[in-house]
Amino acid sequence: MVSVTDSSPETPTQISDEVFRTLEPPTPIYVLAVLFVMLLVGAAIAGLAYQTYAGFGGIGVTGLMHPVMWGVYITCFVFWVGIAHAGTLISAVLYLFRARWRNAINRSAEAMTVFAVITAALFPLIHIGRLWKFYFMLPYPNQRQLWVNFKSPLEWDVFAVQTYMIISILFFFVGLIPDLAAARDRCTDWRKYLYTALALGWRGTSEQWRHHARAVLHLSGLATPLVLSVHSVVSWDFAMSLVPGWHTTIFAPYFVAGAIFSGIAMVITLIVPVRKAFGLEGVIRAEHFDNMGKFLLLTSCIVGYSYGVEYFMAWYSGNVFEQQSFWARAFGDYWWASWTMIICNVVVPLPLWFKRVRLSVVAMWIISIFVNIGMWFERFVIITTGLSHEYDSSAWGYYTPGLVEITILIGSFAWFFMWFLIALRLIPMVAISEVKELYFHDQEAKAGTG
Amino acid sequence: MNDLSSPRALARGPALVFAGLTAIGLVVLLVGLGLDADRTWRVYLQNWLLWAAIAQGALVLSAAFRLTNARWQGPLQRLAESFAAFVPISLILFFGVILGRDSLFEWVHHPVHGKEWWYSTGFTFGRDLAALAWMTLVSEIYLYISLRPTLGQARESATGLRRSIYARWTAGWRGEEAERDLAERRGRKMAAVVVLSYALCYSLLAVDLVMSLAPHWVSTMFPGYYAWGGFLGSISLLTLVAVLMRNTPEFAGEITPSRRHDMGKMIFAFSIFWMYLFWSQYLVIWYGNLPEETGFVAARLGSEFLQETWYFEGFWTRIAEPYARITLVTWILLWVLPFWVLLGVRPKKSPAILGAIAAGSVFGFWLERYILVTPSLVPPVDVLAGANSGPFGWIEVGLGLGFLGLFMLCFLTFGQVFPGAMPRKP
Repeated sequence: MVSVTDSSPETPTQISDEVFRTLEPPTPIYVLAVLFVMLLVGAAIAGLAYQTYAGFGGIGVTGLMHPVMWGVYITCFVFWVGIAHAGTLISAVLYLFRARWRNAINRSAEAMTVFAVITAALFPLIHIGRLWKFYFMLPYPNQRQLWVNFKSPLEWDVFAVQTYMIISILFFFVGLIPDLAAARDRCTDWRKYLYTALALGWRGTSEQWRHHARAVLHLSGLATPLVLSVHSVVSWDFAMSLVPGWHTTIFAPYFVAGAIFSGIAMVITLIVPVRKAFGLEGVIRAEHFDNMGKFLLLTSCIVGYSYGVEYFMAWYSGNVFEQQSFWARAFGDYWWASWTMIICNVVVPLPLWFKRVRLSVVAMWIISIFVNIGMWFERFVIITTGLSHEYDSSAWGYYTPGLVEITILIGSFAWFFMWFLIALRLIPMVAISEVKELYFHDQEAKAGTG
Repeated sequence: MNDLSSPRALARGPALVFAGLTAIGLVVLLVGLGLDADRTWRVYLQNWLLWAAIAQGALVLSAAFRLTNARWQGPLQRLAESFAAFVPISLILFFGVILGRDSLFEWVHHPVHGKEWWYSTGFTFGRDLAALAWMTLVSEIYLYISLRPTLGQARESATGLRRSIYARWTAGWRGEEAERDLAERRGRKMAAVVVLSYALCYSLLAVDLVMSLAPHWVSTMFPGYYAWGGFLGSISLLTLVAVLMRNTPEFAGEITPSRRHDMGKMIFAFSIFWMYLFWSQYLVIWYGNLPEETGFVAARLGSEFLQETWYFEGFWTRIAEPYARITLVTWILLWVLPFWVLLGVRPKKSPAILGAIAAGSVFGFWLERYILVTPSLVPPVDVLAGANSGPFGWIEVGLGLGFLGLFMLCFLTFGQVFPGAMPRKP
């Protein structure tokens, strides 16, 4: 097992050097990776164009068919909104809890949040087929006096996701300002102009720092309720209905826990290769993997508990529709998806109870990938099995995703990674100022003056 | 400097008061059983549900401190652990719930269709007893691990019963440093076991002892909501006790403004989370409007809680329905006040304000348990027909004080037997 090495950087300059290494000219592997994901994004765009303009039926080219009218697209929407949650949790909640270990990973988590929300926001548009009609979802005064249906959880979603996108981008940007200024002062190529514009005239005066600290604190306060509210609202898209397997009170906290679970897993999936490729071992250290592993374990337990409660209550309710829906989930046509979900989300994370596993980069990376797969399947299982087995047995059906949907699903991952890869070369991927602050903190503590 | 490393002397005044309250409770229990057994058992269950969950929730809080590497809590950790002295007592008191089963559980007489085996006297109480026995075992092991390193120093000066307890608990002493390291490692493992066991066992108890009172009602959220209530209740009680004891010789200078600020933050944040759980459950039930779900809420908030708009006209008539006002007061005590009052920094640091909010929250949970139990057994229709069910009758108050007295006696005794904090590192 490859263990996490614990080589702290010696001086603040070394921290900067280590982090700014990501901004150096790209290697051929990086260029190839970007080209590859762009190719996949291109394929997805072609798929979307085909779906939109093919002329024979819009989303008729997908596998969506009565009774399953929500499939891969809505699954992807829920999945990507969930992925976004880790960024806010790590940045805002852990900031308020004064968990100092967050500093090394918060930047990449925040970047991930922004890109994941952007990815998620595409899916309702893709799913409506006639995507030029999307503005129907926005409430605005108009001549026809049409008003959106505020009673619909789908409309709540429009507000929740937009709020989340705005706050995440603000949070990300405000945190970046001091580091952008540092990059501005180092850079000599065309990016200097970019950084100069984005750094908003940051000089690092004590007054600027004070305002900055206040801004981060207040934004944390605003962002923390969003960790709970956004995915709760997403969960209510389902729970407010009367579909067996959807209408259940635990959905909100269960979705939030799942969101954090998948989000942390995605942070690990991304951070391990970045750390290796850019030699960030001195900044992203053992304690970070240990703590992220614990978070994975906690949320895995909550998700597992929710699975258990759902199955138990389905039986306990004595409601035959609930019972058959859950029976079909585990042993019906979609058994493969359900068991993938249970094994990936509950069984695979079990080794995280051992510290040795949490400290092994390879093990953490593998587990995180399984969790990503499992959480995608969780959304798929909830959405698809719920709809395929409703009340009337003559209306039961089986949904198979179409080729266009699969292409767009793969494209969504490529799109997400594309933004992340581009951001890697443009933005310091570790919050330098915060890591340095910690460094001085530790120095003072060592000297006995802290 | 105050010395937390040795046990504190039993505060005679409070001990006498709490002993008196316990005696009152016992008398009320016996007289009540003679006069109105159904009502007495209802109140008994209400109090048991509260104090057992708070005692266990406090240990979960101590475990959470450990698991999150918290460093701010100081003597609060041991204070929280002292509440767990009631855990074994709650196991014993559970036999009272079993004794009162004829008055409490409809399914004892009328088996629930499809759940005959799940709700059968032997299986239901058997598994609940097993869950409570497991919780007691786990709690005792956790306390043993946590206390052991503090006893090495204390056993030198201890006398009498304490001396023999300390001697037994420090058998095979490895030296203070080694003991401390061992406790650190083992305590962390045991903390995880405590938290997991609490989540599972108290979810089971929520189903068996609260949901089963209305055996056709279903909510997947409810077990988690109940368990969270115990946790939040224990934080409130801990805060209240800490604020009240801040000037005693043992705690002088320990309950600092910064610690009060942190405790205030905990009540603030976790009461928001409580509200979130409550709301997640309420909104789904309200929106779904299925009779098998809404019945539970309508019995507590009034029959018109389902109307489309909460227009103000007729508000007073609506909340005059049985239980509606108590439910709203509960909600105000558990969320409205903690949220709005503790929003700022200064109220969190003020002992009077923080203590009052914490006291309100503990009392709110007492009312909440009343609201969880009573409307299932005395439906609003019966109340309108004249059934006696108010929360402040002599049985309710008497038994409530009795449980409070017994709980606090356990707490005081624990503090008298065991040292109050880890001895400071040299």
